[in-house]
Amino acid sequence: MAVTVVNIIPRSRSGEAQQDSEPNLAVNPANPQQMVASAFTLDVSGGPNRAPLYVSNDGGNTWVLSPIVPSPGQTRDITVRFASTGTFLYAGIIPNDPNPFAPPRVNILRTNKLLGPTPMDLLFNHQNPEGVDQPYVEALTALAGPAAGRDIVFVASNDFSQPNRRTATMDFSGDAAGGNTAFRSMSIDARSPGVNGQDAPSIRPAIHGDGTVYGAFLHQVGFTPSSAHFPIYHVVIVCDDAFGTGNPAFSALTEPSDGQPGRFVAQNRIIPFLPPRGQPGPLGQERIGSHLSLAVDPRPNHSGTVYVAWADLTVASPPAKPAYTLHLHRSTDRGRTWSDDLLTVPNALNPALAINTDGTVGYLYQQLTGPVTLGVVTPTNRWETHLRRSVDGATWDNLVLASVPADTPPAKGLPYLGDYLHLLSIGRDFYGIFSANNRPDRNNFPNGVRYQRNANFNSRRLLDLDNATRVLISIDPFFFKVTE
Amino acid sequence: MTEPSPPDDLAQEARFVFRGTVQRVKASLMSEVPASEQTCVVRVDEVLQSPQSLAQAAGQRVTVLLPETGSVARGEQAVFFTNPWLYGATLAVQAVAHRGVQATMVALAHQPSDPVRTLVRRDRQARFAGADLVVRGVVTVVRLIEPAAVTPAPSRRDEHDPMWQEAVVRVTAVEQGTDPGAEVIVRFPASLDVAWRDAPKFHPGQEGRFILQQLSAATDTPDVATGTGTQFYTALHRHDFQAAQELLEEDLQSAEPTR
Repeated sequence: MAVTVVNIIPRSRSGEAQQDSEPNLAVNPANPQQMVASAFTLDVSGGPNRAPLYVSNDGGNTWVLSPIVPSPGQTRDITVRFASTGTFLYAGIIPNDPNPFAPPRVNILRTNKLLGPTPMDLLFNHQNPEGVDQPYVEALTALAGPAAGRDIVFVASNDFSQPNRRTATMDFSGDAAGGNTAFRSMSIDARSPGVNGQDAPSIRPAIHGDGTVYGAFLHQVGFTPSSAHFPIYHVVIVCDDAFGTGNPAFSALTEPSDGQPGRFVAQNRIIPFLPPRGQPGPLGQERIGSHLSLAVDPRPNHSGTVYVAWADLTVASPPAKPAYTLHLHRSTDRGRTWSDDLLTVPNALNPALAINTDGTVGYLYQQLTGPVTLGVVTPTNRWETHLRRSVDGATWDNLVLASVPADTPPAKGLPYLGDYLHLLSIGRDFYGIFSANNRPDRNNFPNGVRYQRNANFNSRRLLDLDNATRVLISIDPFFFKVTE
Repeated sequence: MTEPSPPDDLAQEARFVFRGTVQRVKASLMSEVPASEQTCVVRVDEVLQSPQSLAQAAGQRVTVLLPETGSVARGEQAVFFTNPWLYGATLAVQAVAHRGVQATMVALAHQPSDPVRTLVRRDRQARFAGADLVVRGVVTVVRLIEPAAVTPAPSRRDEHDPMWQEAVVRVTAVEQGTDPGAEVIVRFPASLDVAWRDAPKFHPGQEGRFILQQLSAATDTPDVATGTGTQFYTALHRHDFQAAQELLEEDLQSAEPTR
């Protein structure tokens, strides 16, 4: 096994000290040397309507910042993905609208020119009066059947204008590489939420080459009776058997208790949406309230195996404290039945799942260690980034990719690390990305790390372009690859 | 024949301005930028205007993509007006133009010696020029806006919720626009979410210059723009508030010799 961890800030950006949080990653399945990463990296120098992406053409060893995203300076959300043939990169973004009062909208973008200078093409503008949140893209090229050769693209988002506040939404196209990309937009939540309710921000798609598409979301059913009034959710999985062309779409999996599309994986989970005003954290310096990931086994004849991970507030008897806790469940029968917790990780967030061509599941997450009290961060707290892998869901290895102080640098806003990160597989290899404190300290990266930006690992200092001027510690994106 | 643009106009179009020496023509330092008739390698001798991340670029070699009408010779010294294009192991920039050193340096002599401050000042001047109202004043009160006035669905859980608040600013001087009277009300996002984290946050006692846009119920979000017959303003760009201390330092620096 070989582990590679790379800080992707290019050397020519050595002077930057931004909070480059909420990373995402795309690796070209047809050419894994080619990769694209995104983060909340502000750079207005590319032009009045450009935001940057990170691009690597050498397997993640070096990266360049390329301003090809049509959004002024940065985006409000962004995820990126290649389809299987790698012809096109797709992105789901919320652009940084020049009119600050415009409701957030989702743009679905496409390009085959990663270094520009032309910006990504706009395929679909999902806009409505109440706004849309957190687009999350997945893509795949169909290899057989009536859609053979076409790029299938699903972008999940939270659309506040959906009727009856059934906000979990999927935008999808069965031919996104073609001349007529024709995106369809629909709610995938069959049930109305409780009073004043809505689905949580995270909605996730997972696509299999045989046409199976799963969707995961957090459906609100009420609030806690306490004064805190925390929302309560069911974890729901929907399924479509034919790339979203089912009639109706996403109705292939129903819940026995009410006969509606959408199977309950877990019910009545408390998921506080914090901090509404205190800012920044309750968990370290990070907010909580919606963490979700979903993955399907990509092997032929294995589309019935699907994993889902989410975070909720687990309340134990005193003296134990409530803990924001990650849960991982699995189904092997297309979502009809689900396991109990395969792994339970307290004080953790940012789950990301992927399954490789051996059927090994990879599970990436970030856990706050040390004595944890929600709303408090101390020098004893550290953010640990873990990659766990298992061939059977029972026995897991544990790679610690980073273990960094949680109280530094001070948050410059939210999200601190990100409301999500990403893990994917190509063949047997796992590729991922996370954001973390960038102090150049080898003790913080137990499996090694490489920096492109100027850094002195002896003095543990970041250095500017002149390799002399000290640069403040900040949050950077880190790419990693784990090969067998 | 069109008059060449003066250096000050070029500097408005460029984020990264430097005095440099051409080391190689038809060449590139980056594999992502193929060498062509329009590319050259230039050593940065002095940074004149830059974002913070390039303030220490003196001594670095960069790949310059010249405009189609531009050409340079090896060994030529010039002031390059550029915008960063690709950040990698080295930097590639797209040149707006380049000009001879001597006359250009004279023309830019009024700029601050700090290249980052020069760029900030230009950005702020642009905000100033486009503002409806610029005042100096003191924040006397910060308060929540009546919920009914701002949020269509009070329970909505949106990571990008701006969390509008308003600051009452006692006006001590009007620098641009129509005199608003003794006070102006500035509505601002208290949220530190990525969508709003760079927007100035106000608190009582804050004193300085406010570069303001008037809220319009017709074109902006009505729930934010409307109130009980009062005119509201915003200051949403990071340069839209300048603290009194910074203004004082700026005044002192402007009294010092420039470049």
